[in-house]
Amino acid sequence: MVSKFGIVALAACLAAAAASPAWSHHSFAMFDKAKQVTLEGTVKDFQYSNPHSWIQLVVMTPAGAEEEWTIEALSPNVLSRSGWKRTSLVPGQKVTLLIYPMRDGSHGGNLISVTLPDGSTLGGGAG
Amino acid sequence: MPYFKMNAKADIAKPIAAALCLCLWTFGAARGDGASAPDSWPKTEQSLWSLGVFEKENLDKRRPKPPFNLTGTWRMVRDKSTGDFRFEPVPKLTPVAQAEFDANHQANIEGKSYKDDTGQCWPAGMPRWLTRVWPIELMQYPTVIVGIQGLFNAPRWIYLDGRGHANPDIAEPSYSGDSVGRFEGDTLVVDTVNVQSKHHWIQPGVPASDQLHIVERIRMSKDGQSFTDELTMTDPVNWIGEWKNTKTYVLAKGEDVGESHCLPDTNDHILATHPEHSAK
Repeated sequence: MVSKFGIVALAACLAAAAASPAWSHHSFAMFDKAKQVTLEGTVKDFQYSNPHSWIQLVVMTPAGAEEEWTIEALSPNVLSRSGWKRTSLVPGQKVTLLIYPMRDGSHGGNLISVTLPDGSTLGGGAG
Repeated sequence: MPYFKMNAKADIAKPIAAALCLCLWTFGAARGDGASAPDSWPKTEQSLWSLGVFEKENLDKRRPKPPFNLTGTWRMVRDKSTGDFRFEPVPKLTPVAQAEFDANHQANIEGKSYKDDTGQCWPAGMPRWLTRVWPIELMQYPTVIVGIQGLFNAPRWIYLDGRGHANPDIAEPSYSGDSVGRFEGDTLVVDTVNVQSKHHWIQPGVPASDQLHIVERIRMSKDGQSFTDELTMTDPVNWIGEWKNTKTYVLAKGEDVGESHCLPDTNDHILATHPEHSAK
């Protein structure tokens, strides 16, 4: 499993899980909104793009293996209002992400927030 | 219904004159008075139908001063009481639509999307065009309102120059539909028909058919900072009776709609759009 990979909340709610926001360009049904997962890792890539920004994060497992995660965030027009810039994340940066994970356990999720090396936090726009 | 005659001053070479005339007549017919226009919709001067919305003759035509101008960048106000980014409550669906609705619901319970066409780059189309998280840019001219949605820059045109609906036997259906508008007192009434039904959804689980008809009644606030769009939608293929909903928009100050495309690699890193997360 992933190092420092903690399930912060497990309050299952079927109704909430079944509901998928309809405001984006795609369904969000595959994200588990009943769970929040913390990932600590290294930014491999960050695209500040429409319709969704995304982060490729490399996380070390307890066994010392690398896992690559694909995390989706909202578009620049939303993120910029929360203080994001194209250079907010750069390759090699150590960050902590709080995400809604994929319900099928695959290495992906919807970004809730990111904590930068200086301790500041940026919201990812997950609703 | 009579179609208009083109009055273009084309200098047509004789050998191809006949063919071009046929093309011009066909084009004109596509812009003519369609059978699906409401009976109350005003008939348009035939000569006007031959004019593009930005032709000087059309722009300069004398018209009453509109009670408001929608030019601006607007953001929908999120209001859960009317469905937030959806249209709620949902009316009684027909069996064919109910089956889609149930399939979507079941897929969501299983953590899957269902026929998530916008995720695969199909246009959101009307009425979802109105309810994306991205702002909408509207540009109002005397003859037309041009709208650009922040999601993939999807366009919409609302013709104000008095034309009727295009003949659906000739005009190609579109995702934004064929929209014509007129001012009635302090209200802009917009009538939309001839939508493309292929991969087109009112919202997840509720399809749109080619019989979708949307009437919007748009009213500006006194201070010009917001407007309401009262929608009445009918689609006898998919639901019973009228589906009513009202959305409110506010000026998105300091914002513009930027360039946005759905490119071949757009979804490469958007796992939610990948086939393994979609119901079969």
